[in-house]
Amino acid sequence: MRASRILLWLVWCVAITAPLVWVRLDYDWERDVWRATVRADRWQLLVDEAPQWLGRHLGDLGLATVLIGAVIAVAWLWRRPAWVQVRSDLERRTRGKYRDVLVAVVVMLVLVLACRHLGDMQLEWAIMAGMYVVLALGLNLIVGMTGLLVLGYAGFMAVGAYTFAVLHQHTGITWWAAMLPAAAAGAVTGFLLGLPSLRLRGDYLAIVTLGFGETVRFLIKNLVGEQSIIIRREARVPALMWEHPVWRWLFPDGLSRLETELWIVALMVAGSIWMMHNLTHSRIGRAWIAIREDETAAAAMGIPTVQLKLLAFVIGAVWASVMGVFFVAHNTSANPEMFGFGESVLILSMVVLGGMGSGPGPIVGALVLYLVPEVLRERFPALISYRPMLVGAVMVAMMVFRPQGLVGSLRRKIELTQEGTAR
Amino acid sequence: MNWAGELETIFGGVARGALYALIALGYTMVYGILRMINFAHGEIYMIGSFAAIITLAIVTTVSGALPAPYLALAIGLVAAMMVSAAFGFTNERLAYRPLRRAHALAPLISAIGVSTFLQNFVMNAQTKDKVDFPRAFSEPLWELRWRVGEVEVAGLQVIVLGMAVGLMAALHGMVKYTRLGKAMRACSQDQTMAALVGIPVDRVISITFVIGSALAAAAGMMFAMYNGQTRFDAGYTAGVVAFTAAVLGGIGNIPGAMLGGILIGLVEDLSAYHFGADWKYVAVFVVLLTVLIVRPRGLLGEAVADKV
Repeated sequence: MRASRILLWLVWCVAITAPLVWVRLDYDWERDVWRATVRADRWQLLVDEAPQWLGRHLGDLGLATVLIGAVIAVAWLWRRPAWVQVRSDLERRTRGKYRDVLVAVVVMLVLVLACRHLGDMQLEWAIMAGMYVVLALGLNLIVGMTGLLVLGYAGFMAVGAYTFAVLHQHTGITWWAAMLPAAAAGAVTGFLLGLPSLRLRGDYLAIVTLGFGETVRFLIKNLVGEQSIIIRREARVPALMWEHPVWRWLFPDGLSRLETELWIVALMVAGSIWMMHNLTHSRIGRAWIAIREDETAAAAMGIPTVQLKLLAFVIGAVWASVMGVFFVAHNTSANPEMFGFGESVLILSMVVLGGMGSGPGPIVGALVLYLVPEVLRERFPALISYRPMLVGAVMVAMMVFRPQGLVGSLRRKIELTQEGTAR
Repeated sequence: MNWAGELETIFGGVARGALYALIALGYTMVYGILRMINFAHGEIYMIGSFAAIITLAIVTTVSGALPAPYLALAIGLVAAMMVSAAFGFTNERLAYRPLRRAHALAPLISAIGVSTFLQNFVMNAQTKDKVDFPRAFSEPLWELRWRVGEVEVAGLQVIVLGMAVGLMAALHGMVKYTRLGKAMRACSQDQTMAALVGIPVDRVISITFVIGSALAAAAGMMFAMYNGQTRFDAGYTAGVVAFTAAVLGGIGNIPGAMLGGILIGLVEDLSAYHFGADWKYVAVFVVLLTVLIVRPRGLLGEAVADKV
């Protein structure tokens, strides 16, 4: 697109959004009407404060630009032919049975250090980021691998979370004991929803799952109640304060609740990655990819499409409901509003940003979309309320400019840009 | 059984359903031509309701005294339709057109992005609270009441129903009898063929979005009047319900959207009347799921095999 066209579109967008941006409404109670005034404060913000703000944060912005540039440059160079040799070399050397052990040891060392040095806020970030990574991986299984657009992923989380919360209310069950019933509930829900709706075409499925997410929320509101359910202390993740000398040596202050949660999340992330990897490279994973690429052809080749789609659905649902339990345990209370449509879209956009169907894609997407706004929150407090806008813009931009995602595979790019068959 | 209450609920449901039908038309027209679900349509509707309220505020402020309600409402309606049409047009050009030839998931995800963006844009630009429709304009219409035997209907309900039916009739006539309507039908049947015989497909698609968005804006304003308020997330629920209506009637089918809208309005109001307002969306979802399982092509839709 030529620069003049872009400018023209910009001017047009500013023009059509003008009534929403520049009009302030004040209610006139005497006459029962709204009065309109021009939002001079916004103009002030744009003319006076924005340049000042830019001046103050020039250093930050410069640093951010350099960092982003560096990341892009590395990613770009990594794909150059000159690197192929190096990469295959690296791959050969790091193969072997000790690699996984090595990675595990390094990760554990990092975690030990993290527990000693991170503050509560950083721990919170790390836990939430880990949780979103697991959720994004689970959704990627459905959206990325199998090509089924699910818009109610948070609904599955809600199923798990409320299985735990309600059981806890009645029996005082602890969070780890609740994992099993929650996973079962998630599986049953996924199965029951998937059985009829997986016979539908892609966009209908999206709507049904969206409706499902909403219905779960409404059902919880009506049947359980709108108030939060508090998880009592003894059912949350415990703080580990053992007196064993090795433990004392590793963690001089013991593990606080957040630190224990960090370890658990790390375990979950590792488990998810391991399982995703194995599933992707199995017979089932290849069948999923075949379904994603061309369902009719896959069925013609003898792949039982409905069963396999159902399997992806159920596994993804179990993933979400288990994370729902953990989320509630971490959050110490459950509320239906925590599992709204916005949450589903956030997880979906993580998958889209990182790259649908790619292994590391959802991880990158989750880290970027969760951590960047959270970390920048202190410095730019406005950013967190603009995150949903950012999420939306990211989804459109990714689809238009880079449909395979930040770290997506070439295969997915070809699939998404060429004229699809399933239209 | 309370027959008067029952009948009043049915009439209210029909009026509400006519508004859902107006929104559903936008879904169905776009689906008919592009075979995609325009998720952002609910947000276009919501922007219409905001634009109407803002226009009414501007008209009130500029005219000083309280303007004649009917004139002001007419101005508000036209302005809302124009603003929403502009948004719908921009939406199609920037977010959907580049993806016309892409995989079916791509425009869908893009549409969800647009929807999230617009919703939060309105929240950040205006407010996250409910915005009341100015009562000075809606109250006179509520106070106008007609009584037939035991049954009492409000003037606003009659006006809403009348306007919705009028707009739908106009749309139906346009699609059926004008050159543009013929071009739209041609595009929905076969875009390549339509382009070959000289129909400007891109322009027809743009016009489809503009018309659908304008209808949604009309529904937005009237819904805001009817419910007494709007909010930045109003388009989400209304969008899902209207989409259900479009599916119920047979997506891609214009008379189907009208029928489906009215039926969904009835389902919503009757279930709210009998089981309580908390259950109405559950009822709507049950209808959606049932239709999709039992008769995916909808009531009036023709059976189409999945194109390979």
